[in-house]
Amino acid sequence: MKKIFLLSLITIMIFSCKKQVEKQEKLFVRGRLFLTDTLTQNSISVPLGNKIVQLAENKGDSLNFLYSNSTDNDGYFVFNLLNSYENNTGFVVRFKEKIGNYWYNAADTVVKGQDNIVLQAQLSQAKQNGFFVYIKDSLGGGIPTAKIHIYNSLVLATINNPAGAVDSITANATGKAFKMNIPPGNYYLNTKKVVDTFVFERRMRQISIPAEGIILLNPDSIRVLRTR
Amino acid sequence: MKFSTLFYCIFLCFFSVQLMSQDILFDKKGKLLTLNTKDNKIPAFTSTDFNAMSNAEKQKVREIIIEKIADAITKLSTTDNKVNALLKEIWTRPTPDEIKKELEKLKLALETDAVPALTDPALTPINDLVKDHLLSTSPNIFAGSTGGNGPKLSIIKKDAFNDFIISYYKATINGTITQITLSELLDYTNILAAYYKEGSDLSKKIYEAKGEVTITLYKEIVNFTNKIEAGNTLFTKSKSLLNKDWFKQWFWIKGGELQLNPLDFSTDEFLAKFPRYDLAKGEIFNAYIDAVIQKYMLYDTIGKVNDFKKILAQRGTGNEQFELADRQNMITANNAGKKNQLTHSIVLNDVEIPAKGNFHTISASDGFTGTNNKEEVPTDPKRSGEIKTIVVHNVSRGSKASILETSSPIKDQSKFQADVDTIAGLIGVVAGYTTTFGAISNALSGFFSSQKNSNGIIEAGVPSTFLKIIPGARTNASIPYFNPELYIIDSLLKKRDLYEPAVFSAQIRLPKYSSLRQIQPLSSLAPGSSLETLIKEFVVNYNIALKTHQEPAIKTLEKDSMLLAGILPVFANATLPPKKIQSIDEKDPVYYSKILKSKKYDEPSKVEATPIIVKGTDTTKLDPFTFKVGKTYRFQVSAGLVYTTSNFIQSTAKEEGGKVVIENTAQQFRLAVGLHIHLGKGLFLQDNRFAGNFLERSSVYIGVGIPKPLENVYVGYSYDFFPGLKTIAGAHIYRNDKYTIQNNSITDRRTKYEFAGPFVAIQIDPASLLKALNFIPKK
Repeated sequence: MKKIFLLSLITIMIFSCKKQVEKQEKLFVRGRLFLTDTLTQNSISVPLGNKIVQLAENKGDSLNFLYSNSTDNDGYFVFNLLNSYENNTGFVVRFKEKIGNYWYNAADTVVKGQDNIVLQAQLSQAKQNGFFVYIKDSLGGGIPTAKIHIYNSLVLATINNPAGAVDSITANATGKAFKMNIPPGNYYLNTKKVVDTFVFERRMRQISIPAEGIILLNPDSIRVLRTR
Repeated sequence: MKFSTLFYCIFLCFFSVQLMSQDILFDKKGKLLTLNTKDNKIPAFTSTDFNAMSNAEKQKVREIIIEKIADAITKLSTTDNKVNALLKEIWTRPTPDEIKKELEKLKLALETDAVPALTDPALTPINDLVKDHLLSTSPNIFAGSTGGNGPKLSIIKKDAFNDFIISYYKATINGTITQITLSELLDYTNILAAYYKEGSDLSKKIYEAKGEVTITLYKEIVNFTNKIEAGNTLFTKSKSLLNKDWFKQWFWIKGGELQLNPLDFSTDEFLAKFPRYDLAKGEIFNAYIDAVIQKYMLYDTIGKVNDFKKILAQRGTGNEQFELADRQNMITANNAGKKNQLTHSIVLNDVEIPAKGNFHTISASDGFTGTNNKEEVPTDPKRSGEIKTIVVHNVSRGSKASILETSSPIKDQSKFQADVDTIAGLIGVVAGYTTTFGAISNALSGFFSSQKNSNGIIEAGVPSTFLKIIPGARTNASIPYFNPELYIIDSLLKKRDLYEPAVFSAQIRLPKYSSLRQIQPLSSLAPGSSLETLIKEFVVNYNIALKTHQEPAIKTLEKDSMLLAGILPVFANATLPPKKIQSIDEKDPVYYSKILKSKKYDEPSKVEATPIIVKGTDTTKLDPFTFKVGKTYRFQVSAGLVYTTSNFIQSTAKEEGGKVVIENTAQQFRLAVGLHIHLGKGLFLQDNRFAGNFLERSSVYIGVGIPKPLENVYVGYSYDFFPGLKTIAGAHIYRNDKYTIQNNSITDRRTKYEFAGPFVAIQIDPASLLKALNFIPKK
């Protein structure tokens, strides 16, 4: 009896030492934060380092989160998960931060163990407003450095005297122009470009700016016409 | 296989089994040769197991007696043997030849292990006694006190020879012989000694006379022989005494010697022959003590009362102060002889083993093999308070067995633990060794000295000289005639004291000597004359006739001297035979067994024990042995590696720097420290056997992980395959708290323990582990 017992004990020990297939539970989510902003700048998937990313349960609660972590210098982030989370528990990783003068945000639903999260931060539609516009000619080519005067009065827009504009912006080399964070309301855009003796302009293009949100005008919406 | 071959195989197997199954074996001296015991019982045996030894012993006794008989027959056979000559004179019926024939029959019977058929009434008692004591058909002389199957057994052996002698003595005892007193014996001795001396003196004179025995000497011889051969002399009585059956009955057993007392011991009356005290000194001592006492009484003071008492106690003890050694020595020798000859039975061996418990068996003598199914190995360790039992067999009479023990304290740890400590503390490199050899030679030298046997010069006997005619002295020249007869008598015979009238008369009367009876002129006695020649012839013939006349007396003297020479030692060297004898049973065993127990040691110790046998001032050491004493431990602590066989992850969360840091640990290997609660009597560290006692080596284990002992708990069963090497298996319970986290803070935390899975572990003493781990560089 004693010998049987001892043999059993030894057998248990021997088989215990046998290598088992690792069944590691992946108690983490990993990913990388990028910035993509082709409106205010020309950034596409630029890693964002040292930014706070939040982990929240995927319950539709956008207010609360579980815990946050900083991305490293290269924009990588990792969240360790408690072993109490079930395998089918869903999470959301999200980012929201003002970079420079503009808010950017990103969000993605992830699952436990996901390690290839690509979080793209883009201009946030919340907490800010503005508009983007492309100045193009009749053939669709961009009109560089076109001047855009913003009128909040149709009369003044009709007069087309820049002194009556609330603001003026200049398109860039590709004809893109934008204005962020302006009081909501209706505005009229007058665009003019003088090249030598040629004058290209468009008058009284109306836009309505909400309190939050960025209006992206149809790229073909301000086509300037030669007036002289 | 042929039937005969098969039969032989079966027979050999049976025979081998018989041999192999001999669990108890003694030698003929009673020494235990083999003893295999089981369950504290000595194997059973019956007296038939000793049949062979019994018969061998009786065979040996028969051989001893045969040798004695052979010596007796030799003495009765040789014709020039003084003993034979003596016996022929003394023994009338049966005669020495008849005794010899009976002895030859007895010798043959003993040689052929048969009952003798002696017919002489004096010797017929021997027939039954031989049958009862000395033959292989006689009862077995060995017996056991019990049949075995117990812890004690005694082997008793009867002395076949003594039994035979005692029975023979009782059957032949003669009142006449046993009633001889010491004074009578001394008389025999002294008077026969005087006779012998006188006879020897006469013989010496005859020898010195060189064939010419004077009349005076002759008369002395005749007077002497007449004197001693008178009817009531002790010489005659001694011859009559020696003719009794007693001496014929005991003659052969003493190898052909006549002895008044055939036994090796005598009576108290005989011992009184030796004075016990020096009486003269004793009296002087008593007188001195009396004088001292008187002095004390007259002059001494009260201050010396104690001294006076001592002096008074010695009053009248003079004899005791001067006890003579001879008497003591005789008493001692007599008692020894009595014991030696009357011992009917002796206890050869008192074998004993403990009635219960384990023990180890050794023997005080070589050639012993023994086993016990609960063998106590001498070097086996003992628990504190326990004792080791050693049984020493074959301790000889007068010896005492005991154990010499020396102990020294030790660290109570198992061999495994000690080895681990050694390895852990071992550093450095072992240097090479060199050995040197030396030769030692002994020279034995010896020499043999041969002792030359020097042949002593054997003095040749001076041959007797022939009687020379002494020329007669011439008488006075004024007397022209002389009487030849008177001349011969006076001048030739009387001067030499050779004149025996009867012989002379017979010779002178012969016709041829008629002229000698006549007066003859002196001148006829001239040298060379016929008268002178006749006278010379007469003298010669006279001397021959005188010798013839003297010869019977001389022969009688020779015979008597020979008898005295043979008889005197019988009495001079004799002791008085006891009237009664009683056999003795010797209880003090020749060998015995002694159960020795070691001391009790309460503390861990190393004990060196040596069984010794002490006899008088001699001490013999038997094989020494060493054993250790250690304690049993109910609780033990161990430390080592544990391995949890299942995968598990332990999560912990904490707030740090305004953030929640979650740490997940998946650690299957861990250091742990634990407590063992041993079953049975507790763990015995000195028992270095593999596996050992199941209960003692088993323990319930409770351990905690290191670090953070409260986060990993191990509960299981442990077994010490070697004491101190703990092999553990059980359940790993780990702490897995439940957290509620929100907005970078832990809002709720619940302690919870969960089953991680089974674990296995190998652990050792924590101190040893620590020592071993000290060699690992610390980060």
